[in-house]
Amino acid sequence: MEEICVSDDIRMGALAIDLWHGWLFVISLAPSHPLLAPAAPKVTQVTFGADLAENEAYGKRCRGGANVGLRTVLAEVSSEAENYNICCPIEARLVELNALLQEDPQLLQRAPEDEGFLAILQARRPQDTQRILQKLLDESSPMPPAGEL
Amino acid sequence: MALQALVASQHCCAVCALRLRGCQEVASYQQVLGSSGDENANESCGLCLGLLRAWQEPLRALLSEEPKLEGEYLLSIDLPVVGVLREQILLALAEEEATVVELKDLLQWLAQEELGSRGFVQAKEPLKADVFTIHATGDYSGSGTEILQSLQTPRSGTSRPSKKRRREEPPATLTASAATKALSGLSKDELKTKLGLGDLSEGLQRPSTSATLRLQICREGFFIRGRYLKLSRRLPQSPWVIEGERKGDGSVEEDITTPVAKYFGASEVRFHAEGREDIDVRMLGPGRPFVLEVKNARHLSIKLAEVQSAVNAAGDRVEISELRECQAKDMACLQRDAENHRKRYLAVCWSEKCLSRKDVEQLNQRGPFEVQQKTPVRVLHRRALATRPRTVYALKMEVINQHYFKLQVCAQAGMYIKEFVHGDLGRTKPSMRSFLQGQVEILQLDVEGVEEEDAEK
Repeated sequence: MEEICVSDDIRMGALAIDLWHGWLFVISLAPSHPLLAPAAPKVTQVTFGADLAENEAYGKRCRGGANVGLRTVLAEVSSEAENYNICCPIEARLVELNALLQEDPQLLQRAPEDEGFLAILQARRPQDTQRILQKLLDESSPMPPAGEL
Repeated sequence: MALQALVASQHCCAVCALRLRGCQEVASYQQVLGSSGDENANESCGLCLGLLRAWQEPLRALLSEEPKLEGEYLLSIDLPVVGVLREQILLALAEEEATVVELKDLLQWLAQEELGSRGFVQAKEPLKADVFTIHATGDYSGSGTEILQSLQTPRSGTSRPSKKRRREEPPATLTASAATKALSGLSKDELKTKLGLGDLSEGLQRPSTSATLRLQICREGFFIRGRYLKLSRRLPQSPWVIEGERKGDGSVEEDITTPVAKYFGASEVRFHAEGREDIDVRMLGPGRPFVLEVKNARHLSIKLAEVQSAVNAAGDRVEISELRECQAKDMACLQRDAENHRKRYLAVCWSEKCLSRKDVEQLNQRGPFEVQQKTPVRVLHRRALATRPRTVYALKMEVINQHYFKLQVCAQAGMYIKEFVHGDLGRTKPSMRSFLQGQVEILQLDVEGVEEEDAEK
């Protein structure tokens, strides 16, 4: 699993995208995100995009799922200080939003690589996965893998 | 009278001539067959399409290929459609002279004689276990099929099949049974009009090729059950094929079914186990129950103990035990048991945080609890996204050192143990990760039992 750091609009902060099992993109906060800085303000709430929550994938082979693109706001993260919009970094389809963040928003900061993920996405067509991955690698500066076994 | 004309017109072979006269002595037919034919090499009989001469070779070849064929036989003969057609024309021509021996009957007699002379006994009770069936199918691809077009009934009932279906389905070919239904019992004139023939004997012209007989041996499947151990961490349970390519080296299924098929001379052995384990997980303890369906076996008197030793000797990846015969319903029980039984596992795990005595004590004192598991990310490609509640009945943690520990789990069927350990991004709650409040990874997993008894029973 490669971790790539995609540098988005600086005002929005940085996201980390992991490719799992060759077809699933797991989106979470990258270490360079302001909310993960040492003295960052605590996250108070995570609100997912209005239409998204109803539109996760379903059934065997993860059919359906809302189309999300570079303009889609996956979530609005409110904190004690500033609020942040998490914009989708790739053209994809939604598989799952992290339901745990509704009740425990601070998971985002406590376990960003693990339970505090934001969303799982899949390519709109299976053959697009590699193309998306390549585009991300071309556009971003790869980060060293963080603290692995 | 018509029959005499038929014989004289030389449409039929010497064997058919006999049957037209209503001869019931098999010996006479064998005599005629024994003498070299008066057949023209370029044409075959217009009545039997050469089948009365062509049946011997395939049957003898089949019997010599299967020297150890056991059991009592049943014979099932299917004539080619054109054969049925000509037979019906013949019967119509014969009319009151009902002494004509039918082609199917004659073939049966001749085959029975041959099989009897080889020591085979015809089965009186078709449902006995050792009965096998010889299916004889006649194939004919020569001339004379045009008449059949008039018999084809248009497809009835379906209103406006969709364009796609019309393109895909080939035009229905006439089956032998449909032909029999359409033609039997008709009088000469009715038959003439139905087939569009001026004179019925036109339909019995000698064809250019003869029909051939295809033979196949079938037998009711019987069932064997046993238990298997999987001792390798690189062996999948079933053959692993991705996009036509073989991944992994063999499988538990093949390691068991291939020798069994060889011993019994079976065409196919179906394998069904009570649940399954991942490729990198060992199956230990008493073993996982499985059931085999052995189809179309040639040999029956095989000692199961011998088969068992052969499978175990063949390699050190799979071991089977308790091999014995069983009923068909045992296969159905397997699925039911897979969902009801509790399973016991042993895992070796790594913990990011240092393990404290308190962690271990707290964990070991937990009573049974429920776990909510969302479909693990690693199987999302083949299972529906859902949340499944499963019970963990018992946990026992044994520390190896500060960061490594052994974990025994007794859990409800259907629970994903790997995800219970590492938490699967928090989608399995609770998990060892949530208990220890730090990253936990599973390094090795063994299944130690698949039918754990309820402790309270």
